[in-house]
Amino acid sequence: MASITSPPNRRTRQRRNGVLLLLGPFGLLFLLTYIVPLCYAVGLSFFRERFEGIGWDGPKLVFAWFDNYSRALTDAEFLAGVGRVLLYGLIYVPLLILLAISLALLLDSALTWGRRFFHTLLFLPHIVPGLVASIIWLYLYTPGLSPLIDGFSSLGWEIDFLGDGVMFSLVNIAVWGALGFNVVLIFVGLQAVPRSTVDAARIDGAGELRIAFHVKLPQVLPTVLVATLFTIIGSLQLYTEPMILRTSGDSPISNAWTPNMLAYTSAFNSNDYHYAATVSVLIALLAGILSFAVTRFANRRALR
Amino acid sequence: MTDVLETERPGVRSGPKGAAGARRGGATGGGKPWWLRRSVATSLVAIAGLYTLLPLVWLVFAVTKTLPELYSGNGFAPSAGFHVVENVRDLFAADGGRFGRWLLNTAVYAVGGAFCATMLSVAAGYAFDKFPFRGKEKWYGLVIVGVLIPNTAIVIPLYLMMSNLQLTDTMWSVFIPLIVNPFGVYLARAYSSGAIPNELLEAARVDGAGEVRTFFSVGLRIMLPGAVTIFLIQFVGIWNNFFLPMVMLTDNDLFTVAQGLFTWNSAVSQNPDYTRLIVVGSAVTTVPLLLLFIPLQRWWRAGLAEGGVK
Amino acid sequence: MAAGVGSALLASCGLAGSGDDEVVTITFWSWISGSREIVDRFNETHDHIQVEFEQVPSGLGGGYSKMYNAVRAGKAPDVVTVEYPQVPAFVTHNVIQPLTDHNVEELRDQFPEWAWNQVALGDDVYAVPKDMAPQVFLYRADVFEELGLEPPTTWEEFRETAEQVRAERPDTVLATLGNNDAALFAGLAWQAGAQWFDTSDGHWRVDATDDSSTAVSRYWDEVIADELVNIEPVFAEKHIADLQQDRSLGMVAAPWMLGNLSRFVPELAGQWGAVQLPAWDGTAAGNYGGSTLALPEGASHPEEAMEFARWVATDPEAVAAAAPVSSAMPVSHELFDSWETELEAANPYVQGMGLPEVARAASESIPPDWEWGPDMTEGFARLMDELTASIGQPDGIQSALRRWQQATVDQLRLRGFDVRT
Repeated sequence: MASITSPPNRRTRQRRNGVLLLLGPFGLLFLLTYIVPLCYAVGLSFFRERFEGIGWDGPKLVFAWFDNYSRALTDAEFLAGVGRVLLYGLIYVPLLILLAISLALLLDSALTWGRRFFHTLLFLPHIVPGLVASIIWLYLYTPGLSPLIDGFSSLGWEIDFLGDGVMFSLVNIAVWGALGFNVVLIFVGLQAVPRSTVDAARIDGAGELRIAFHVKLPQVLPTVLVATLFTIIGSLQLYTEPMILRTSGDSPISNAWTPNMLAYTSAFNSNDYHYAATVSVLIALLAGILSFAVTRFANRRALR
Repeated sequence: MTDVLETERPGVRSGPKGAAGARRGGATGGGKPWWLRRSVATSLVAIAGLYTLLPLVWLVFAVTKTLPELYSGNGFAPSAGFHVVENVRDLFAADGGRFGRWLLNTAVYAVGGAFCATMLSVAAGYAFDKFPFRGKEKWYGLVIVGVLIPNTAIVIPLYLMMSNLQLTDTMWSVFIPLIVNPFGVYLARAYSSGAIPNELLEAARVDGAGEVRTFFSVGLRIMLPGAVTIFLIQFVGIWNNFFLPMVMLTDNDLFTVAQGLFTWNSAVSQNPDYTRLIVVGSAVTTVPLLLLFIPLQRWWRAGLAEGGVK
Repeated sequence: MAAGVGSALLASCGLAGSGDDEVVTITFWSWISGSREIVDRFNETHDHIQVEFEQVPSGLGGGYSKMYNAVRAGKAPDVVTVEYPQVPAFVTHNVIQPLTDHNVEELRDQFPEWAWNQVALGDDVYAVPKDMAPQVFLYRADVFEELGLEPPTTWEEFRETAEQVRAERPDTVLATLGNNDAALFAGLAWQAGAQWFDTSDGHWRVDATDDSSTAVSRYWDEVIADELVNIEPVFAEKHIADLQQDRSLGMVAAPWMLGNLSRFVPELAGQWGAVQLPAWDGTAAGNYGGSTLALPEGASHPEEAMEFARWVATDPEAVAAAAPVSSAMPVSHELFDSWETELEAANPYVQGMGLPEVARAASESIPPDWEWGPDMTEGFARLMDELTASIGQPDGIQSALRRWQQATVDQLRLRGFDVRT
């Protein structure tokens, strides 16, 4: 405190005001919309509402220690939801990233005609709101409405997009929406690879394939890892797509199919705020663990 | 696939304008003629392009159809009757004209929200980059944690907190969370450190300008391309955000388009005609935006290249 | 000082109490068809109360969440529609207020015992029954005549009739049932005398696997396994096509469903017949839908809200207003005659099929002791998911009910309810 009360010179005072005025508004709002709610959720998660007897008198608030957490970790619905989201991520993330890398390398090569056109084209779904994308695909998955199903069945394939194939259908919606953005992201990285590096490798006698994988790809690895990280975080949030596919009425998607849907259902169907808060905290934790793992992996690669 | 990846580099391209275009590619490759490699490469990309385009084509054609036509006939051909005008009119007349209201709300949330979010992010990113202050990296670390927390994990706690204060179901309950974008701060800091030379700021300071004024007169101007990128990212983010309004709002008049379409989608079993309205509503929401974004596309690449997802 | 407060209080009482020329505006949230018409009629006939109607998503489609949220946000509407199964949840979560202070008891004689039991929970009455939905069997009278069939009166006959239909026309079924319609199966169990929830002993008893429920689910498991009925989303594309092309001849229904039929298959007007639901032993019907009117906590005009709710549930004008667009059946027996007249006059789709008499007889045979659990939003959602998952498999409904019962008991115990099985 003493150092602050001593008269600072004009520059430091100005600088402090600058920080306060420029960073202050964001900082305050960040505190209010991120930190405080998270702390509030952690707080809520240690309480529960307990009904007594038949329950006509309404619930009482009681301190629950770790009851909500032990409930979640033994809740078959929650665990199944986490499993589904992980499985979804395990299919979706590698598929998206591999497709994006391949397309970016193709577009970066001089071999493709009409590159600017394809850039624009592939980018379009990024601008389509996720809900609209889900609705379009829902209709493309719905027998009777879908020209795809008619097309496939004329080829002799009877595909049940909304039944057993629903996981694939969800991955497809997500890939469709995210592919173009990730292609552009990686492509931009590839563009920054200096030509001299590529030429040097070529003079050393490296084949073009070798150049793609050993010269270009390592240069964009950080970009790829960032893209992977965001895709993983995104896949944990799975909500909109299954909510929409669920409305087809005949789908195996339950109303707590993903952790996020469980949090929503707990809060708004069961009015179990404390459990909803607990599930939210666990989703954040899971994201933290996965992010940590990915960045650790990235740093290890970078050190090599 | 292997042949396809053997490429010739046309050289490093600096601007967002991109490559000088395709060139003869076969010079260094052995074996197959260059045009064959090119055709294979182009067709692979074209398949991806087709996959991207087909659902959108279906949507556009669906706008021309009546409800029975949606269920019969070729999905990838327009209706002979071309019912676009009736469909759009019915869309805006349905439920007492709610759709227009939803569209307006979404525009306010997206444009206003993205603008405020951009200003806040750019100022904060600039401050993180250009000022030393105590605990800076710790605070910044907190912001990065904010980037990594799934947005939806925050929304429900936010709702629970706000409902305790009886703040939910207002426009602000959606707007305020939308203008806080830690990822924008991250991008802005990276952009600021890459684009604004410290000497320039020193010069402004020597001239006696206050820090805030320096930010607006020097920093913001140089960061404009980065700011546009952040704006676009946030705009699409808000346009895409379904969960937050879904949780916060119950008043139909405050709904976003996405929420409105979702509500209709849940009511299809009571009124099958909603299917048609949803299709038309989806197109009306999406198509103008697509057309608007095609010319803006270069900003994306520029910003992403500079801003350093590096 | 004290005098000032006193006169302010008096003034405010005066405003709220007499209000001769003061118009009070209240809001009403519902999704039940006919609500808008009822509100319009009420506003025409009342001067000191005006009602603003807001269409909300159907209860389980988001309407209930919306109500809970609104009450929490301090923006509660004055009157809401709550379906019977959800009344206990609204009570246990303190979302609606007891109506005991508003002389609700004097309405008791107008309503059948089972309906009153559904809104009188613990020591208070929490809602006013508005419409009800005694299960009936709707069948295509014209096709039945063509095939020389009689509508079934017992479930045994139902099965035989279904087999006959299959034999006569291999692509046709006697009836289509929703593949995940939890309320339908609950109603069928109710008819058979099951009692899934029971609080009469001072604690919750949950039993969806008693003999009656098991008999009902075994029956349907077998009928479905033999492909005698269609199990699929009702009023979806395929079902509508089946109705139009005479491939699905009947439905286990309730009066309100005629409204849906008239919207989805208007061309079938005049072709339907209605009879009592086939019986197990002795006539009985389950209730399959219907709604009540309740007053949310925190609503600012409970007096006026109650007056509106009472008018909607007991005034012939309300029935007359809704009749052209809704075939829902009023609960108050004093309204039956006007319902019969109005419905026959206003709704050509139901003319001549004798629906009112059939429904009236059915309504009198609904077993009175059925109760709903304290969280039927979640309960129905879970049962729908379980049914979707296993209906059509061997013993599908039976196993769905077993799993549902277990999950429900676990869930309720977790929330602290005293549950014994």
